[in-house]
Amino acid sequence: MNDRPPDRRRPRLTVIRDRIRRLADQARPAPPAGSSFAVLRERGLLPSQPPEASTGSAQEVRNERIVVGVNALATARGAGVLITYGLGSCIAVILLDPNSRVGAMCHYMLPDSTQDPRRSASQPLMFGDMAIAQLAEVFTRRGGDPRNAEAYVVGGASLSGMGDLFDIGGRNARMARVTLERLRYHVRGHEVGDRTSRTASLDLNTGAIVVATPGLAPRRLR
Amino acid sequence: MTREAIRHTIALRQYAAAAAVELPIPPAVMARMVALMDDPKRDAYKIAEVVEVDPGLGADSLRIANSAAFAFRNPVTSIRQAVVALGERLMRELIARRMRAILGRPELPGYEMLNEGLWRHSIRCAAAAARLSSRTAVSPGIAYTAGLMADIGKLALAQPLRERWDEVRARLEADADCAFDVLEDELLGADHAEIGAEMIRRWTLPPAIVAAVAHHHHPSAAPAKHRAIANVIHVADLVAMQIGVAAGSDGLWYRSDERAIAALEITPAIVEGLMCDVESDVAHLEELLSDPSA
Repeated sequence: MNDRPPDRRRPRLTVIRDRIRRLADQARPAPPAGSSFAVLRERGLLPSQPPEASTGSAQEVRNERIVVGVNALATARGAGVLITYGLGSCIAVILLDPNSRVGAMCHYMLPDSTQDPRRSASQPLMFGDMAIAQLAEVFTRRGGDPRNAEAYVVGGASLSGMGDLFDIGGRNARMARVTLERLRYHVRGHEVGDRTSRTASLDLNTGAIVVATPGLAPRRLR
Repeated sequence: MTREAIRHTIALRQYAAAAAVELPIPPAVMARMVALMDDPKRDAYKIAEVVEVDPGLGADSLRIANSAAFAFRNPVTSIRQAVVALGERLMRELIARRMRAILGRPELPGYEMLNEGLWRHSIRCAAAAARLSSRTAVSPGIAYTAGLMADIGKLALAQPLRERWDEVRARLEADADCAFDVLEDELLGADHAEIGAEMIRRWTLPPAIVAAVAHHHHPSAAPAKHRAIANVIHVADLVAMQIGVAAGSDGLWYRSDERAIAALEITPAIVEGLMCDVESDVAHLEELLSDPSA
């Protein structure tokens, strides 16, 4: 909404100001994408659990819910539940190493970062190709073994009858498949397409992956 | 009027009246703010006059102007200062926060929306509408307000929808191409768009807003003078649905109106760009969800 026309009389000042801002941005970590703290946690800027959970009982840690917002990702190990709400045409990709019980989940909105270089530089997790690459990276860094990893893909709903215009869901799903294949992750389960909204969760206590749709019985992918 | 049409009108009025009983009455200042957004001759003085009348709005203005989203170097201490610094942006924020009292139900049955889903969908629809309005002669403030109110009728249909959910589900499964608003009309006697228009009709808003709400699922049927804003709200709603953050049981079960899309010259790149812009526009409003003091 901040769409004031650029000041044409003083292009130089704008350029310098932008450069200063960019330098300042590089000096401090970028703010979290969307409304989620998942990214901040991921970068070690927030404790990996809310304070009450870390001082609380083991039960609370087991049940801790880490909500993955739009254009964000999160990991967990051994306990806790990763959950993302309201996947329309967006995609959630879940990686799980059942041996070490490391799980990771991302929620991205658009397929292809090469379509929008400016935005993909500031918000890489918005785009499927970059989000999945980062997901794989944090998954291994957290101790997940790519050779044991199982991948799951959820979301990618579409509005019918509009062809390519509103088929971001279909393109998002294809990008997930292609990128996971390129990174050599085996897709063990998926629920994509259709016109429904979905919520996906991974419970690291049990390894259960559940997809829920408002008004329908939840399905288990794992 | 045919017997069918009379029955339809009665259903519409009944739903709207039943929902209105539970609604917090929107303050008269809201209608004045919206009217002001429609006024091409408005200036900071006129806006400040309206905002200053209501102590709640005044306090909200200062809170908004000093929030992290704007990050001014010096604290904003007077309402005039806030109005001058933010202008129309301030009015949009004030209206969005007022609408939260109405739309921000923690849960909405029938549509099965959680976590203030209806409000979160509505602020996205509003943000998309304000951006899309630049492709037409519609004022961005009016488009924003209409987008915010587009789905208010869902409040009235939530309970009746839950009671007949099994039938709705069966119909969705039988016909992959059906539209949810058509289903509402067939099973419940009216759809959420017309009921919403009926609900806000008594708020003394500009007629363009009421017409846009009423026709947001079939803008080509809107009266010619309100067709542009109906087109804008239609596409904005589709974009918000596509983002999906707060989609309910109705999911993406709606039909798009080809003529509206052609009229606004929408391309896939525009849809994608809008989705990104909308998410950054609403990020600070989303933070209100976790901030009880806001």
